[in-house]
Amino acid sequence: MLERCRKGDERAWAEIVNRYWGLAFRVAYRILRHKEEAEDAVQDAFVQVYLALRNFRHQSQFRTWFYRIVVNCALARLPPSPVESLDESREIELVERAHEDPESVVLAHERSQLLDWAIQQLPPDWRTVFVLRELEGLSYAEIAEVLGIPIGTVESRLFRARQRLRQLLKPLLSDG
Amino acid sequence: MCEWQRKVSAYLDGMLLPDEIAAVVAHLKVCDECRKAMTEWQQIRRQFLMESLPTSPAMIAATLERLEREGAFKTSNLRSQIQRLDLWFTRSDIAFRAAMAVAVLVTLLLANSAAPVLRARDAFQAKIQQAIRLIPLIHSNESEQVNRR
Repeated sequence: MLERCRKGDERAWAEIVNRYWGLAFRVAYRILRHKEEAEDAVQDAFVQVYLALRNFRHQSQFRTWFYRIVVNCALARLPPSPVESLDESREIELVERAHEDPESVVLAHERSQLLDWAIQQLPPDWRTVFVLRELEGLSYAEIAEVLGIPIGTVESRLFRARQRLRQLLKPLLSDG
Repeated sequence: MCEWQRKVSAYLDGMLLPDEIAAVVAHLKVCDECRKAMTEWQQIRRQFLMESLPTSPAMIAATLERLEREGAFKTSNLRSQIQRLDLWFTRSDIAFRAAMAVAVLVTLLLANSAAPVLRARDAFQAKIQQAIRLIPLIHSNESEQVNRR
């Protein structure tokens, strides 16, 4: 199919986009936490695939290669510093309500806001490793290949991300 | 923070060797702090996985349109089929018009070139008719001569 894409076959492209769009959006959205930005990042990623496909030599799996492109396109759209954060009073309110009864009091929307806020507090490097391991289920070796970093660095970033999220979401988790 | 937590994190991801696993399992039995950390990491993951992601139903089409604008499609099966069909109709139309024109032209040419032939045919037919009319006349003259003898 990649060969057909290389030759510019529209039907092959439709198959690739249909098969990988969901994966790309999931990763981009979880890194960016912004729907429109994630959609644009996914489009950028497919254009990158088109531009780089002639150089893809199957040395790595397409899926791994594609993850790398999506992650890079998503990271390129991250603002230089966290621009969206809950104001302090709102944060305290959400955390207190979560503490009271995490299952019924905190609505899904509010929980989502809290998760948005928490993950945006992570440095992009930690956030990416967390998303790829915890939410996409990639192995350390796959993450290392996607990001071009040693496995030890993957392990270290993941541990730090977990610890930081644990601190940030502590009241949400303490009764769980 | 318990110094084993990093090992516990790797244990959670199945990254330890068998003897390390045994050591971590033994440690988890006696360390509340590490057990709590592991449970909370699992809860955090569940919280994120429980989230419903926004949907973008029109975005696949938009992505394909973007790829087309970028020049990714050199051959389009569907489009080329339509184009071929369209071309076939166009060609058929031209061929039909040309055939009709040729037919009219040939008819006109034949009509003009056939006129002398038709005239000759008519003259020939007239002569034959005339010859036929004379046959009984000749025959009757011969009979009269025989009777006289």
